[in-house]
Amino acid sequence: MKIAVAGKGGVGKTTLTVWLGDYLSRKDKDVWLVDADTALSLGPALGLSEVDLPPPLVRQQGLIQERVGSGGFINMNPKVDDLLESLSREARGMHLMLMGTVAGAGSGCGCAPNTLLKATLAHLLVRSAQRVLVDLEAGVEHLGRGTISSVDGLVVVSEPSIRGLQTASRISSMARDLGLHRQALVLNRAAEGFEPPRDMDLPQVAARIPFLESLEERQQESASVLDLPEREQIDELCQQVLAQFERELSSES
Amino acid sequence: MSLSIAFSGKGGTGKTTIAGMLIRYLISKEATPILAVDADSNYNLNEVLGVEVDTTLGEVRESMKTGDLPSGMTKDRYMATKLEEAIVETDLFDLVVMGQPEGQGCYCAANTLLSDFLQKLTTNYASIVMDNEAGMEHISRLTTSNVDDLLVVSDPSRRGLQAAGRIKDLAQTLNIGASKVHLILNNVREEPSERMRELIADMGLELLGTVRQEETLEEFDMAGKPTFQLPEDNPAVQDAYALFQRIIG
Repeated sequence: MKIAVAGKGGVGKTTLTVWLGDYLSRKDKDVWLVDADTALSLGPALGLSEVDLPPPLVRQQGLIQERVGSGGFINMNPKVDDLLESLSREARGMHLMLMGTVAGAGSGCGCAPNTLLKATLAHLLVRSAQRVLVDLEAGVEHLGRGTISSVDGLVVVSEPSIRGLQTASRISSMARDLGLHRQALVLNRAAEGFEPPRDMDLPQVAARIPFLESLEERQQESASVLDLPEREQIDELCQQVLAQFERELSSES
Repeated sequence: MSLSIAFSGKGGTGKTTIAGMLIRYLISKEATPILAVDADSNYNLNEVLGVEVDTTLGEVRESMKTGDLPSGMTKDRYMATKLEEAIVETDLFDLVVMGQPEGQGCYCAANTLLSDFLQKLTTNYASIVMDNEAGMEHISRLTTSNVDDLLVVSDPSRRGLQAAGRIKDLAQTLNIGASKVHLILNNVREEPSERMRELIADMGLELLGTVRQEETLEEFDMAGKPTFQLPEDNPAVQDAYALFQRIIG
């Protein structure tokens, strides 16, 4: 199963991505976590320290040069299947990959690193057999239709704020326009009984993340979101999200 | 010579809200006309400022790639017109929104036009305020000269500060002088603890100051009301103004 997680910044995308990964990995699934958010906080959320993080893909200049090339002749379809092992790190029984962003490309050409990044994401989502969870910054529209058609489900995360929900709604409708209809809304830190406004055109609420005091307190000291006392509760909400996609997938086939 | 100030930080730390406060501060100091640039792919500076956005520059760039052209017009000319149309103009400031990231394929030609457009555009303004995501992808498209100050916003969490540390490192590679990178700790309930101050120092960051967690601001946020319209004597707005005064005067 390939799942993308999106939403406004700070709503808990990374936290939920890590929880879903940890849940699947404890069920003996081979899980790949991909950090495609520019804040690159997926590794820290797994409990990794800065020095243990894998290098962001877009910083691999030698590799980019070798696989894609530069200048007038660039290969838009670089070979990437052999890169997955070398560019990832194992953490908590999962594989972690960092994408990074092409900063400072304004004055030069960002095509080569972007091409390698997109090709790697496409490979993981389209061809690899593993469970893949992608933590996205924006929506899915930059992935391209071919890649999007391989995504089994889009999790849109939001807080109960209007700004969060508006972003969620925008992400959801753009993904639908691109043919990705299996979507689940996860509400974070919403009061019990909170329902998003009906006129906002949002996916069905699949799960709610309660306000976890243990997490709130710990975030000041530690970046890790794992090993919380509320693990059972967290497992249950992960299961709810995955079950919604499984139901939709099986009703389609 | 215009003043250009950029914001960055992990998502959800309040950088857009504080960017809105800066725009208001600059209006009160008559550092106008002001150009606001929203370079966050999950754009919502317009919501903070209370204006509607029709078209993003990313959409214009995309339309140039897909190439639906009216007859009798070159691609360059057409894109220039469309980019002009994407500027949201108000009495107090103008706003451009970068929007979606690049799709598949090569965007060099479109990006060159975009950079040219932005660099010409920015010469028309006394102040430029730019809201970036942590990757700061667009920052070098905006000005050839340096950004005067980079304000990195974090909440008092370890992950927020780690992201801030990484942004500072990235700023070095983008030729923004280290002395011009300032940390703003937002949404604080109490003065930063000794531990937090140590962590900030470990990240090589210089703490400009704090902006408090504030009830009215939170209410505005939840209801989707533009925080730009908060009363000027709001304690969080006053916190931010005091910080702006230290770097801008």
